[in-house]
Amino acid sequence: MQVALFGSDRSLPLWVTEELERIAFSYEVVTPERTKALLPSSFVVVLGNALLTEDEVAELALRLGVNPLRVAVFPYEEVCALPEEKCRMLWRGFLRSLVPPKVEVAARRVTPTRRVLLYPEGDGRLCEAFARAQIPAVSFPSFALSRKGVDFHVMPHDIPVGACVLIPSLQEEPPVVLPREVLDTGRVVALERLPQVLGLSSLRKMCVVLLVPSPHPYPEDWERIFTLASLPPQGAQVLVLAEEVFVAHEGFEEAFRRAREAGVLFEKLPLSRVSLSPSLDMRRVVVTYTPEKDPFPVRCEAHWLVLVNRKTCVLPPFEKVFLSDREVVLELPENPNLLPFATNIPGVFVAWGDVEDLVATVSRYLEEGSIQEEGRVRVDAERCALCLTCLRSCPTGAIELSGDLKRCIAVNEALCARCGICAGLCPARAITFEVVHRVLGNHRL
Amino acid sequence: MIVGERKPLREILESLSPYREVLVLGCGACVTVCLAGGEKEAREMVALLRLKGFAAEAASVERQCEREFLMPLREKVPAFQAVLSLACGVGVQTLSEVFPGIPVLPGLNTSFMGAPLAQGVWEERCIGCGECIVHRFGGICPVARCAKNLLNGPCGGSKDGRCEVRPDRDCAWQLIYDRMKALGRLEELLVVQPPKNWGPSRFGAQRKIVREDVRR
Amino acid sequence: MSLGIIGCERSGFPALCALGKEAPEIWDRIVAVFPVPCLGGVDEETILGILLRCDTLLLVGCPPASCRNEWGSVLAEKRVARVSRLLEEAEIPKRVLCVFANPNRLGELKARVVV
Repeated sequence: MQVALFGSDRSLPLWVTEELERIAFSYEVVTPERTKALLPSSFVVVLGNALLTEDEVAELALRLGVNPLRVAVFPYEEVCALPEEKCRMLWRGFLRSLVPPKVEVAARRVTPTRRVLLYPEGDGRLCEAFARAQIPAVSFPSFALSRKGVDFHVMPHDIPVGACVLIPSLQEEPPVVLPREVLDTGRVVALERLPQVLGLSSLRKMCVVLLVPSPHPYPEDWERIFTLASLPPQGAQVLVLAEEVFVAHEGFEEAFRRAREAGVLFEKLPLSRVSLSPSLDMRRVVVTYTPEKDPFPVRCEAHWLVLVNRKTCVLPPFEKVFLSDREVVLELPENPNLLPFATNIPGVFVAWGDVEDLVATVSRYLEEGSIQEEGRVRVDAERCALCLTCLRSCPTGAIELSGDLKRCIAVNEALCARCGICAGLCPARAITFEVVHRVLGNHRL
Repeated sequence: MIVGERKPLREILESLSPYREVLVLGCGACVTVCLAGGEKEAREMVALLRLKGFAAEAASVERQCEREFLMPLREKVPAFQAVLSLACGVGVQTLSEVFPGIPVLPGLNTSFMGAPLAQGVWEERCIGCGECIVHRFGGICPVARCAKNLLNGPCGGSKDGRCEVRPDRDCAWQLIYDRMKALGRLEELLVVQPPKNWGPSRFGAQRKIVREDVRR
Repeated sequence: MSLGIIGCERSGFPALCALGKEAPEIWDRIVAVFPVPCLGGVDEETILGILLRCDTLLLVGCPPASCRNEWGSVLAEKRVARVSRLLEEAEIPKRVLCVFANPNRLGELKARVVV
């Protein structure tokens, strides 16, 4: 059995090399700088951290030209600190656990077509930015999309595009239902206009109440809110009733702290606990709210009520154009584990936020593509009852009906994220998905 | 397809209590599709039984209602003290016929003939009345979907399109009305439907269909 | 209490390693560790099979809003709830729990593992 030891160039301790010789493995050392062509039947033992993700394994297997199921990781860094006997024992046990995989899998890189579809239609800035990045961008008034490999094909013209950028519309609505009488007081003002109206009056004993919905990840708005820290020292009272305070931006933690120190009151509560009514003389707005921790309502009279609008991102109806046999579930790209702007469906991006960042992300996706592992996920047609559970459950939409009669389940390996959800759900156990990692049993890490 | 769900575990364990070596047999047809009795559920049941101290094994066949699929098991089944069948009621009975000497216990409650509305949601659509008249109602069957089996219009008790008998269900006649209106065929609902002949249904005793042209 | 842990490669397993460095005594109680690509792929049979070897099984993974596979964590949570109900109904004295953790969010995992 041949083993390629993948790690740094440092010399290996005796217990590593001796045990290898004892089990009659021929081995060679391979490093990121020095990769030789390996026999396809080699095992690659990575001497490193305890785990590589499926993606990292795929990357390595592609680089070295081996079956990804032959890549194994030995937690060398942690183990070598232990006494030698223990190291030997763990290493020996690990080598014995290396079994040849049951299936032949080949890792290949797939790159999408360098063309982007904008849906519904891109504005001037977006189109310009794509043009500068030398990525042709197209839009169509009416079309349907089918998936071929990692690309989308725009039907009926059958034009391949590598990525789809969805352009959302921003829907703004007030954070709470505003009673007519409250509006009639003339004391309700938008956040952008607040500095203007404040400039016109004396700040002493003035009460300003802000209502902020959640989520509200718009730094410009929060910047404006934090600058209100200048008001309390001048005698004004500022109360911010927010469902959540957004500090995930550079300098915001500090700004939040300074605002509170200056005397701005922040109360976190669901806006449903806030009720508004006009004061008797119709010159102020009475704000009554029940804090989360106290059962007693708090009442205050605001000279100015600032409503920060709820901005919801509405995506264009992607499921209407996607010719798929499944309901398309599209996640909004707030998931920190996905590429920024990316959705759960590979190649579908949402244009919100910074245009340059979006174009850079799409550009990178079009250049790098993804690694497809041929033969990794197998569907046994004999067992398959065509219940369609896998097709409906796949997070990336990689499962489709294929064949002349559309009576076979096929996995689009270019889109498969190797999560194993289909294999776990299949009621007939028709899907096999081999997990690269081995069970390490009881170990110290 | 036939839709069922696993019997309460307590019931299954009680029925299996006299035995120790149990074969859990799944079926690859309807019960696989409705995620109640396929190979996966059989293996899951075995894992549970093993935790309870049974010596259990799992197997599955294409359809338990057909002898040809059960015959390959004739060596295996007698080695067990009992068989827990995860098939629909038809499969359980066929299994009992083919292996009369072994106690066969049902693991599912077979419920209805229905269709999936979404992943994980199945609803009754047909009760097998033996005389299909859905075309008279725009393709919506009042026999299966109306709690009172009414054929000549709603009972008048529905509220907001929901059934009076079970408020979490749609009123079938609301659905029929909406569909016929959309089709522009509302006048057809004015035709008086005669009382249903229940002879061809289950209430006329056990049914049998014979195709002489393919009998050997 | 003997613990089995199934950890997802993105958050669960790294969280376990981070906790192990902080509180090495947890290894005395842990009898089996299974890294998986995503908790969503762990089926009931696997869970029940592992319970033959330990009395408590923790599925540790990404918080639902950050599961890269859209609903992997949610699916795992639903499955664990279902298996828990089955174990209760069958009066099997074993427990399965779903814990959402990552190396920066060890609170809940620590509470479940460190006694």
